[in-house]
Amino acid sequence: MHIPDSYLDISVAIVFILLSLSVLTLSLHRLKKEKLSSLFGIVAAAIFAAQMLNWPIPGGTSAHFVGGALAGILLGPYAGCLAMTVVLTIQALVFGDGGLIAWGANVWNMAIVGVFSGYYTYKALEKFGKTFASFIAGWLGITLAALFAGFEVGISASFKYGLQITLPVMGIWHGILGIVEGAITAGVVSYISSRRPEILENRAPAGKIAVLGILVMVILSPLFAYTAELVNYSEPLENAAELLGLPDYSVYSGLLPDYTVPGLDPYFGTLITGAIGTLVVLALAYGMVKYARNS
Amino acid sequence: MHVILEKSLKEASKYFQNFFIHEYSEKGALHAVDARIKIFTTLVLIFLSISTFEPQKIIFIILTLTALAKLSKISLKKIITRIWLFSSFSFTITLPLFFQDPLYPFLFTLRVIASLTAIQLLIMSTSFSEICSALRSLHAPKIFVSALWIAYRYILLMFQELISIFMARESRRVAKGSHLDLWRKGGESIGLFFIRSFEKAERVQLAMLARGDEIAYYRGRLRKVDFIYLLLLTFVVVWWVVI
Amino acid sequence: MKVIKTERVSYWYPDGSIGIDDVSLEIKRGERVGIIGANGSGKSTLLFLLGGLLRPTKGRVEILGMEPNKRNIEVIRRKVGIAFQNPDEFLFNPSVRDELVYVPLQLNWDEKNLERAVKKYSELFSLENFLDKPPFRLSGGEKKKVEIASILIYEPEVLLLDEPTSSVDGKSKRLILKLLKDFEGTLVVASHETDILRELVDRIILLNLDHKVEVEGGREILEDFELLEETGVL
Repeated sequence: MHIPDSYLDISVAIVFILLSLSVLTLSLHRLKKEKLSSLFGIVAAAIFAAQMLNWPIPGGTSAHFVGGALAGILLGPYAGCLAMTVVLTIQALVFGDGGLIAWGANVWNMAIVGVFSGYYTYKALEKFGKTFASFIAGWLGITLAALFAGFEVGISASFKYGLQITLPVMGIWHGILGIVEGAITAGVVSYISSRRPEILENRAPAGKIAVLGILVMVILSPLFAYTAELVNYSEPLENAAELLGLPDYSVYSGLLPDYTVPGLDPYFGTLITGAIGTLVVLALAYGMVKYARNS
Repeated sequence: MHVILEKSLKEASKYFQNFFIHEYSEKGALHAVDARIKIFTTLVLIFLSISTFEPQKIIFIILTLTALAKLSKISLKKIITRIWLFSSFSFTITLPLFFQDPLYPFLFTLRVIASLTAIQLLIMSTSFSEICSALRSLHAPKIFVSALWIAYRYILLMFQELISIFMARESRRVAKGSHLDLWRKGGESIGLFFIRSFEKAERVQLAMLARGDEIAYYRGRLRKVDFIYLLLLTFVVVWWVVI
Repeated sequence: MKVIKTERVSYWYPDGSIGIDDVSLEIKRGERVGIIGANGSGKSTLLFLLGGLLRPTKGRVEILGMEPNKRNIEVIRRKVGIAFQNPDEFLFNPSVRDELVYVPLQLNWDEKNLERAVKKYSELFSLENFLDKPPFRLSGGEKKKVEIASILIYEPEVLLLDEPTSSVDGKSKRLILKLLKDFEGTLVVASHETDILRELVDRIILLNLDHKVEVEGGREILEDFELLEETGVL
């Protein structure tokens, strides 16, 4: 479910970076007074480990345990959100799993939608039994997260499949695999509540207004992304190139007038330009090597 | 079923070790560049890779990345083993679009390759503690960075635990398909592993308290090599625009 | 009759550090061998190689006449028991009873045999009161006893032990030593404690800090304090 870079349009990616940062800021603000417990570290580590077990699913993609709901149930929504964010960040910065520009979208799906929906589903259903509540929470958390991922990828023009394909592919598969997610969530929660019940008790309740705000953002987020896509802010550098009046041929006629021989294959021209660029990069990189040794 | 699970667990831990045994032994030019600069330039390089579908631009970025890797003594083979899975996945799923637009699957995959390589260059030339202190000095919130750092240390700890469990199971595996598959005890063994790790973590927490767990700021001043790298990147951006 | 044989075996860890370098040795059936060396000299690595748990980077290992591979490894495991230095790394089952029956269950022992064996070994090691406790909650000495009991219960021919009495109090240590003396198969003990080796083994292999065999011989090596000091054992 980790979206790598290149699948999302930059406009969509930026919308989700902004959305995620705002919820994250709120969560961090809430956690300011608490010291991060060892439970926090171990839940993050456990979820990290569990996420590494990738199961290939037909249709060419793979799925894995996500653990958003579990993090929410064990740590409370804010610390759970932080734990998932931290896991996703480590995956991106140590394993290259999930993109950097796509970081916001991944955090949004798994650390915000997954955690908050899972946690509140669990709270709402807790009176029917912890096992049942955590099963449904786990299932819903992963399915919603997958739907959001499907939406983000589907709405992006760089990934040519549209929503009519990405939403059902992500939604249906994760709806099915969500059963495993639900079962694991339920298994761990019921085991812990039987052995170390105090772990499940010490969470600060979330403020109503904050939760409402997050809910509104989650509901409106597709709209934001859709608007951004319409505005099509996607290729700023290419627009800059056009504005500067730098279409393909002008460059090598400017820098290398010798090559503007009439009838010269324009592809050859591009090749030359590319080669020169690469040579300059090489030369500069050699300079780096020199100074790296000196320092 | 347990065979598959056990196998994928084992694969996962091997895969994991592969990532943590960093190629630090040989330090190249990129290793010397300030982590703050590298985080910034990585974002720029990814940005360049994914905001175009023009073949020459994408290929130019890939060539740049290759040159940087080569000169920093980062093994191209290692990069490929780390990115091939997702690159081939991207190619496979976009292949059906070949009939609409024959170039699309190739260009899309090249974009993926470029962006993945850019991240790998950052990862393989920067240790996680450098990244943490760089984030800290770029004013990422303190609690977030210390959460990153705590989680990272626990992940190392937990994998040590997991690997030792594999070794232990392996040392007493006397039959091909063991009856004691993980499924039969399913939740219980996961729960047990969790509690075991949790209690170990509580002790580590004490050790951390005993020795302090502040994250150092990155105070180093930028050096010549950093400025040359920035110059290189500026050139890449300009050339990317004009090419 | 050779039980284990290594030919110029070397092992490097994935990060390139050396575990063991160019070790050739032979262990005969019924022999009692001690591997001694400083911390980090490669005792544990060598023991793992002898048990087929690690495969050599270079050279050959032959266990019970077989070179360990996917097909024969279970046969080897059945006959060669190996105990880790740190029992925390060795014990992973929910209760002590589960630890004891872990291998017998794989061997399809019937209920009656299982019960009899659990009773016998829990009494031998005085573990009766801990059978339902999770092993990681036990004390250091108890963990060590559970570890060794869970191996002896399936009666392997060869026993490979890594520091069998480290961090164990005197009482448990005496019990473990007594039971190991009674063990009739081939015994290989890796340790840096000369006193237990004096009691348990007849032959000594001394590893030096270059991860190579410094010298091989009888128990008299344990009295050569100069040599032991030079190799970092003392």
